[in-house]
Amino acid sequence: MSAPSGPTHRSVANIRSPSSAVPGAPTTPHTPLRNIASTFGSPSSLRAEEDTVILELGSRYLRAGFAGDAVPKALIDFGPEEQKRAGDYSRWEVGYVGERRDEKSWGQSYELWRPDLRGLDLGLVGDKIDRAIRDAFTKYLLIDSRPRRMNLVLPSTLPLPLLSVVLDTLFTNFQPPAISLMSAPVLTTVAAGLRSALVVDIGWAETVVTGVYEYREVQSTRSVRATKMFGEAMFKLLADDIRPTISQRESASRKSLPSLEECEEIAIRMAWCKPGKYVETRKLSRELTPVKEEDEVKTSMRALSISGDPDAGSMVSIPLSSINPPESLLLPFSKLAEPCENALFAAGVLPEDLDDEELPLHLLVYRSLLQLPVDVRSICMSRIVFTGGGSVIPGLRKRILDEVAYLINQQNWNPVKGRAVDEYRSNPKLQRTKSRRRGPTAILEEQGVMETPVPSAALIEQEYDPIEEQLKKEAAKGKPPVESGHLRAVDSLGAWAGGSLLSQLKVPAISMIEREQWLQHGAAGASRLIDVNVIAAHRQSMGPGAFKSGDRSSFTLGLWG
Amino acid sequence: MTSFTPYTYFLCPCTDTSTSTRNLGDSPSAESEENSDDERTFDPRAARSNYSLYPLEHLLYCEDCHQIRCPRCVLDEIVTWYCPNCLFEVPSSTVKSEGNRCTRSCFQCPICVAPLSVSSLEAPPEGLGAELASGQNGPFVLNCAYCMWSSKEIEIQFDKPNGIFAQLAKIKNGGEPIITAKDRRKDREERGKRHFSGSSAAEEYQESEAPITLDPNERLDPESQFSNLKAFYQTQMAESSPVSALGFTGDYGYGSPGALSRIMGLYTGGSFADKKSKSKSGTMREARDALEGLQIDPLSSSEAITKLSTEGWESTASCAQRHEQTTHTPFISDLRPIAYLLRTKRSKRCKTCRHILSKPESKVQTTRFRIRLVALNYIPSIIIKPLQPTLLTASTLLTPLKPVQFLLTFKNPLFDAVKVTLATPAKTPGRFPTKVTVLCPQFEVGANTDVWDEALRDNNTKSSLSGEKRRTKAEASEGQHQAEAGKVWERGRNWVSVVVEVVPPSLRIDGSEWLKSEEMKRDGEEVRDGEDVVEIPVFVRVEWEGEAGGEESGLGGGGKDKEVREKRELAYWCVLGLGKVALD
Repeated sequence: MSAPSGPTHRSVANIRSPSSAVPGAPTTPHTPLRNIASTFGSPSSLRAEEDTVILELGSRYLRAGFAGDAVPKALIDFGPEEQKRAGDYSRWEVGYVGERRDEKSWGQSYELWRPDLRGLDLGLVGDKIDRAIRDAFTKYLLIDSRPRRMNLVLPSTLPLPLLSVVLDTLFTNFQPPAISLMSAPVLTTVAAGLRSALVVDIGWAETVVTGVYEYREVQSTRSVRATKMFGEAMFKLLADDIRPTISQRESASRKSLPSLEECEEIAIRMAWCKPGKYVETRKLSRELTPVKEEDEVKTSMRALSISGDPDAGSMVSIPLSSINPPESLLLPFSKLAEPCENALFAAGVLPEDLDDEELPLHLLVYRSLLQLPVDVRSICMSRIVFTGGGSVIPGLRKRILDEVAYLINQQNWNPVKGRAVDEYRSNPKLQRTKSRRRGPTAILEEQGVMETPVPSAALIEQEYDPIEEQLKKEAAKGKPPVESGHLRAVDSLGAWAGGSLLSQLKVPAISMIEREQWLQHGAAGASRLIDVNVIAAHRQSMGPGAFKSGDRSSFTLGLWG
Repeated sequence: MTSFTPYTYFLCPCTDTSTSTRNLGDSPSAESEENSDDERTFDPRAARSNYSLYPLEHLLYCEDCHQIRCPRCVLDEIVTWYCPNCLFEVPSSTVKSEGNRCTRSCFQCPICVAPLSVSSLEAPPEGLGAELASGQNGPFVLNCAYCMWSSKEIEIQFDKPNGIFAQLAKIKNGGEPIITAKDRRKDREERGKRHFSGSSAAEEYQESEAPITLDPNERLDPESQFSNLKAFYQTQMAESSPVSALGFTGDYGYGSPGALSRIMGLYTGGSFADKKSKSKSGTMREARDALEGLQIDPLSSSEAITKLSTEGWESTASCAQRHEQTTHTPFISDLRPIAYLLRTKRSKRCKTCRHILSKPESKVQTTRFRIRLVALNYIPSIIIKPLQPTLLTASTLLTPLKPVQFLLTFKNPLFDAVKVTLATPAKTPGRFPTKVTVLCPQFEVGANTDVWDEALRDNNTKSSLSGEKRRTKAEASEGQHQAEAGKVWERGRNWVSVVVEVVPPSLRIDGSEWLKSEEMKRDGEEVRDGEDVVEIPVFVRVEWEGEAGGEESGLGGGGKDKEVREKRELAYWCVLGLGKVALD
């Protein structure tokens, strides 16, 4: 426990015992290791340790709670209602209508930050964070303003200006002695009980697919198709239904269109996702996997019966109160699946027409799997973890996996596609020439020309070594087989819970910033990741004494530096 | 658009607006210009101002720093935790161990957040001997008196009418029992035992106690998944880093033979032993089943979709309802009663000098304070009234471009007379600037002396300076045009009214293109919410001669410490909300 160092994602990877156990007696009886800090520290210090606050910042919500909680105690949003002046109680008035702000983009006043930092008021971001955390502390966590350690869970690509605003706000307004930074995808993996995963985070502004291998982020791809776009699609759907003519001139009649809250509410409550069109093919591929097939088949059949029979209970009435006058919409149930189709799966758009940053989710997942090295891919594809607000849309996760399975079936991990490739595959003539060249006759021909009959060493197939094989088998005896090679989704408790778990297990993060250092140097004082990593690893392997080795001479921002 | 009540907000001096406001992408020259300009006008409509403006009632005053203190520049200390429903005090240890909710029987309705009450399902005994019957019995439910929701709807019933929190923790929605954390722990320990001592011992154990066998594929709730994961990681970390004799982990455990062999191998290059031991040292493995916290995603949500399509909007939980729940609850049938959040009584300290500014009585039921230095008792309050009495029939909206006069009444809570200086920008910042003129920007407000003192003094001399200057109604109405510049409108014992004249802006945007300012072009064509409210920033400077602080007089010593007067000064921005402008 004291051995690991480095950022959480690294440190857990380092947990593999660095000590060389005795080869002959690997199962030497030993007392199971408990928290060293607790065995050596006095109980009072233990209590103080418990007070670590875990904060997770996303673009819409703040999650806060203590280390060791399974779910965050506070979930606070950054909507305009939360941003009013203190003592402005107008929202509790009878008949209060929420403000309508003119926004440059949909839902802008609801987000803490946006990916595009141009024109973003960083001071305002700091103010929002400050108020949200203050709210969480006084209302939900019920703690006073005594300084306490903080663990900050952040998206893995947070721009440095934002990070430094966040840290500035925390250090100046809440006086924590130290803040540890942890990256969300890795924590999501930890909270799923895995070491490697493909984390699909369907967030607000973008969907991020991160390949995590052995607690390391190895790759990350993103697409703008996420909850924001989904909500906007829902808004358009509703607006079209209310005033088919007016919706073109949106600005003229804002009051007659549903508010963002209402759209979001409808999106959360009623939206669903159609099952994929390729269920049959998926069934075939499923046969190879050991997962309960019958269940799968049954559910897919049921899903089919829904989609195939749109008339059964199809009309849904939705009350809208934010428009003037309020009315109740009667929508066909199947229509409520459309925003999902359009926004997340880019229905009706050819894949060739899409830009790189707006790939539909299934393509995004497939591509990021494709880009991973084969070993990592086989591990990751059976550890797909869905997280983020969009992942709770009923049917969405299954749909993505079905589509990905279909893509794998069709394209078979071949990054090259297009008409020429298809022709090449289907045309027997082209195939034959290829086989001839590679055939034994070809080699014979070449033999005549060149005098070196032996091809380069890299091309020779590995010689079969029975002893090596035996050794490998022996070594693998104790280990359980690793699930790999088929598509499988795993549930995670989420990044916040991962952070809570790790800090309760006392796994230190590599990027731990102390207050004094930050106030003195700011972000400029951070050193490169590698330097600190090495130093810390040396020191901390000493055991309990070194575990709290006072002041580190420098700090790092880890991933974010 | 209905009525508008004028309001005042105070800007806490702790906010340093000039430093951290930074727009990325702005030209740096503009930024530096802004920073250099110290005496910049405060813009009440700027997005950040919402975070630093407070009503006077929210502010405290530090007597040692002589400064206003807002919630952002005080430190909290918790006096007590209590449940707002049953008003029971909760000790801090319980808060730490049990969390932030009431663990007795206080619950809120998951549908409408009204308090729930416990009631028996059986009819109360009637007739003869009803008094003898030992109270109500039989299954109990939680009932909402407001929306008539009952825990029967989610098929939860209780055996006892008290300790509902503990009982609820054992029942799932639908009535199935929840395997408690304790049972899970027991099961885990047992599995550990089986692992170590072979199966026979475990079998014996099973016979003796017959524990619950846990399904390795079950769906776990977040709490139990978390605890399973935690236990799993703990065992894994313990197994993968064994403790050597010295208690050290890691490379420096010289006591172990393994370490010795490693040291021997250090200088002989990559030795065989090293390689082998590396492969043997167990990598922390992944969780394998639900008992270790792994949850395979079932993916099939066709049931949920079917339910959505058949039961429709009414069956789903609203966002507000979901927000109160700890788990994901798409349907109303998933909702659970919400235990009341605890509340706290807090004492506040000044962040700079650590003096206590406010300290409530620790008993939950009392509302008294031991110490309470509220700003209301130190800085003059401002009351806004229109000068011309408005007719009831007339609309309360301000007419664009027509001058209106308002009466600002400053009331002095101090026992010393104060000198007030007001400063306003001639035009308020923003897209629609209001022209502002304070007719009397400098005046003195009398001390808040005893009312009887005043009456007695009044009898003796009609002092010219602090004398009353009241106007009768007739005078006021006829004096509409007589609001003279440089003169106080009305004056009382500890209050003074001055007139401020305002020319509200026209909210019309469709002027000719060249008339528009840059800002207007950038921000679009529409009047945004809040822009039709006339808000004027006023810089208030208050000067008075107060008694010198205790320390200083102590140092000075001697008998004349009563005479030692100290000049004090306080300056802050205020925002006056005067009215709404009619759209024309």
